[in-house]
Amino acid sequence: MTKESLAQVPDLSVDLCKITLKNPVIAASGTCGFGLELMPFYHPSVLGGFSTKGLTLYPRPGNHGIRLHETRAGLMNSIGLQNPGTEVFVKEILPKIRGLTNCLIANVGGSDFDDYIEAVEMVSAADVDMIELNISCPNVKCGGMAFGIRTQDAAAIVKAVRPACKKPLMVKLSPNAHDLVEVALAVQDEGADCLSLVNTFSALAIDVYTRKPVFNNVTAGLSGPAIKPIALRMTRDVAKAVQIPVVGMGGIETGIDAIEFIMAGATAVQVGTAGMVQPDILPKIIDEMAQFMASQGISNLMEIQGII
Amino acid sequence: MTTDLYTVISNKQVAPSIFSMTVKDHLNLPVQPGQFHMLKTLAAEPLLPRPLSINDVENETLTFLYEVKGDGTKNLAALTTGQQLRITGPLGQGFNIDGIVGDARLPKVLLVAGGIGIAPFKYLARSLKKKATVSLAAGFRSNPYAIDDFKEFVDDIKIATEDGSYGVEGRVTLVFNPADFDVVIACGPTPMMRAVKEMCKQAKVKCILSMEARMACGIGACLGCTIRTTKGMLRVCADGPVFDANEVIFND
Repeated sequence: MTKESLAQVPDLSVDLCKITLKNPVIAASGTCGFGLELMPFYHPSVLGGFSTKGLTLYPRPGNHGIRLHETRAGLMNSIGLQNPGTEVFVKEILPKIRGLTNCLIANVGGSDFDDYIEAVEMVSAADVDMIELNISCPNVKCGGMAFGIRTQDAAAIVKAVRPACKKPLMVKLSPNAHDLVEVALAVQDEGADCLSLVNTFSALAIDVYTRKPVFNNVTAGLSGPAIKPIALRMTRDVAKAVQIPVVGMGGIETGIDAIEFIMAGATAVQVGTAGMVQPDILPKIIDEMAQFMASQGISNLMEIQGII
Repeated sequence: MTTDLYTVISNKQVAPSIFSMTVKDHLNLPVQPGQFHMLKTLAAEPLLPRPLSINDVENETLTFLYEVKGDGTKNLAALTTGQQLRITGPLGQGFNIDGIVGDARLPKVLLVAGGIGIAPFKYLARSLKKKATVSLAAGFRSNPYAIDDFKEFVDDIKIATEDGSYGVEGRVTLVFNPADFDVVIACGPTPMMRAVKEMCKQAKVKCILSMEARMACGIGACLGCTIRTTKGMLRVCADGPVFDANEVIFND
């Protein structure tokens, strides 16, 4: 790098709910474990932040049977929120990972209101920087639908957990919502500090030889490059509608993909599936964003955020 | 473990659908027998890398023995000398040689392979040389392969083929008695693994299994490859692929 280009090193830092991220690239929940799994490949502190595996109040063993199925340009998963529970997280895991990043996002899910509230209360009182509320996991109280599908359910759960949440609250939206923009606006009104979207698309795979669905739960969540154009459109739809920051995700594989999400209105991005395809891809995405900005004379991401 | 581009030295078919690929091990990382790597060609599709156990480590090369089953392995089989591919590894918990050998002087170890389950055993047999008396029992649907690889490392080879074209006709479980050994180590299809575990349990012989699973990340992050065990759902990629047979719970 020449002296001239060094002088033009672009600024990738972004502000998300009063936390300054050194860059807008966050490792997505469920794809980076608790951050320690990344250590052989890079130190997680090079990222803008990372979001933990989804936590629930009580430990969950996760789903039986096939959990993964590859599709054209995509990956279907049905892990079933296997996690050690919030207490083990706070007491045993958090002390080991606290120093890995200055934006430690704890992803929290639940199956009913009480579980959600208690889990958010416990985790947000611990030394995490942000809570990412997962409202797209199965919910028995709503007849097997997810909290993120119907606007009134999404609003109700955010309203319920907001007083219990002592940290900035990011709400992770489901692309399966009946009306995503309506859900986003309702969640904003109930006190969400920012939004992340999209979670996986509900999808189906069939084994024609056994004449059965591939997954025990019949449907599973689709991620990966196959969903990127739709996720990008949804990110723009929501970012245009709300006043709070939006963290975009869905199929990002390159720095250029990430720039697209920023142009579509995202303040930051999350990367999931691509990091499982190639474990050191996130730092490469950050480098590619910087290269793109340098080549285009962009000194700060705010210059291009939401320009589409 | 690391992720990097590796260069193919050779990639040849050794039997119908079975290939052996050797790459230059420019990083020369320590590899335990029973560990695996994630391999992906530079093609965009399929998306995920494929987990392949390490077949052999020698003279700054890594060798993978694999069966072409789908698009991922088909892409691998099409690689030619000098081409590059991405390899992440070595990954997982391999065979614990000290644990296998224990305090015994030249313990009797049996390796039970079903089909391509023979892949991790060459490097294991090499690693056990002079530390144990090693026998191999290998089962195939039809034509045996990779058997000659073992001649310098094992004392005894027994073969079963389902079509009777070679060795004993039938399953590999017909050609050994676990009571003749101190340790039995198996790698192969689930029904074989379940049967070997049961035979060893009856004979009260230590049994070790190298498990296989669909994987996405390969590094313990995504929890996609878990199996049921007495210790809960464990990750084949990071907690295994090598497990004590007593821990593994086979479904149904």
